[in-house]
Amino acid sequence: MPRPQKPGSPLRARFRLAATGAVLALAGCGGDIAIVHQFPVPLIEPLPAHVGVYFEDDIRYFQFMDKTSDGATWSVDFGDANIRMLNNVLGAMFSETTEVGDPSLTTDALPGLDAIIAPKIVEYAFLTPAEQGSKFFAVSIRYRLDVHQPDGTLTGSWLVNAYGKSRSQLLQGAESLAEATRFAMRDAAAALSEQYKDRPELAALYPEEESDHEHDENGDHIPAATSEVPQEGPESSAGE
Amino acid sequence: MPASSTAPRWRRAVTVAAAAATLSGTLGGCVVSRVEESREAVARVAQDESIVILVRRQSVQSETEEGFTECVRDFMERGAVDLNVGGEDAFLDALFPWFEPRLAPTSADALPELMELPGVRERIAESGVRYLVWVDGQTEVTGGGGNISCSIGTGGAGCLGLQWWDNDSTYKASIWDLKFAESAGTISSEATGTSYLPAVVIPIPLIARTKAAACKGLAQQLEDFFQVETS
Repeated sequence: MPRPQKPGSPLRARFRLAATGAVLALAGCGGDIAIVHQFPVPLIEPLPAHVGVYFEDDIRYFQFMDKTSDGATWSVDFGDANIRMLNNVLGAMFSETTEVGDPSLTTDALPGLDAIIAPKIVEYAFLTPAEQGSKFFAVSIRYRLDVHQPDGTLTGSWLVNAYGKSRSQLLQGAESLAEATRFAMRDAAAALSEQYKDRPELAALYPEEESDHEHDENGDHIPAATSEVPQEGPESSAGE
Repeated sequence: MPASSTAPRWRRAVTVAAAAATLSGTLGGCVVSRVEESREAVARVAQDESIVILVRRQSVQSETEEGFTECVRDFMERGAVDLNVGGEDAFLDALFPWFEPRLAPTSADALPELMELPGVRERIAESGVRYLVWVDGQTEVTGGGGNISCSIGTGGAGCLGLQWWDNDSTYKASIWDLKFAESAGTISSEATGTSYLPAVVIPIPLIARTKAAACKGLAQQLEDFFQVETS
């Protein structure tokens, strides 16, 4: 038999519910976060190369869940934010990019590619203001870009550590964490944009500097240092 | 009847709380503010040019509150001087990644090199931004003391005591001229004050609004700093 309700009970119940919600919110009980932000296209000069980009499911559907030391549970759903950010950066970095879906990374079916890049998230971590004794959420993300030659051989891996922070707002911890994550992803994009012209993994894609080289009568490149002296042997003109 | 006896008590409590809120809003703590300017060049702004206020985000442990730059921007937009104040996000996205914390120049000496990067000068010209105002600083509680005790019983609830704390708002704006790739000057705005929380039954906060004072001082000085060309 249902218990008869006393007059005023619904109000009391609502008050109790609101009070419980407020206490839980004040206690910092975590939250569910979706990264829905847009990322700008970097203002950089593209390398003249056609690069394939392969996104594994791990980065395509990256999600993170953690329970912090204060007992709060946080979940971060990146959605397609990593894909959007990396497509913008890699699209600006190379004159042409093509997303490839073949995990075998062989170019038999993908003619014309100069390299294939497979980005991954190695680590995502954050600290709450309570954990680090500050007013900020701090986020760190480590990306790894595996660079493959057209025949599938791994040329090298490019590690990027990125960092973001956002001031904690009262009762808006989830928004602050999302903002810190956005800043960390922007920092990763900035790091990639800064470093791409100096990476040994991408050296094969760099254009030959016209200032350092001249051409012989066949159109082949000759190092500038040797172009002004007589060619005395095969070793002096070799190397191109 | 219990209902009729509690009603006036609630009414009295609401009246006292409203009076306390009014008193708190009217009085407030005492604030001392100071603004200093160092001008390196005459900062002329054409009517089709704008300025952008950016937050310095390089420090790991501190960062200017977003509300502070919004306050300065709002104050300048409402001010008597007809200045175009552009949005921070739009500028950062247009020049991405060159003004991100990792890569942003920390002094105006680095501007000429930045301008030589592919597309940067053209993109800045397209945006119409002539001056950057880098804001750095924050508001901190530097000290305090006192004690308040509150109790609750069948006859009601109440507090007794006094608490106080010192607020220090220190901000600095560095102004860079993007057209000539040089520093135009700096403005620093500082406000200090002590907030009080006396409690006689009801606590009445008397807040020293140092951040608001520093914002107003900085915004007014920035308005004076720029000369808007009318022709």
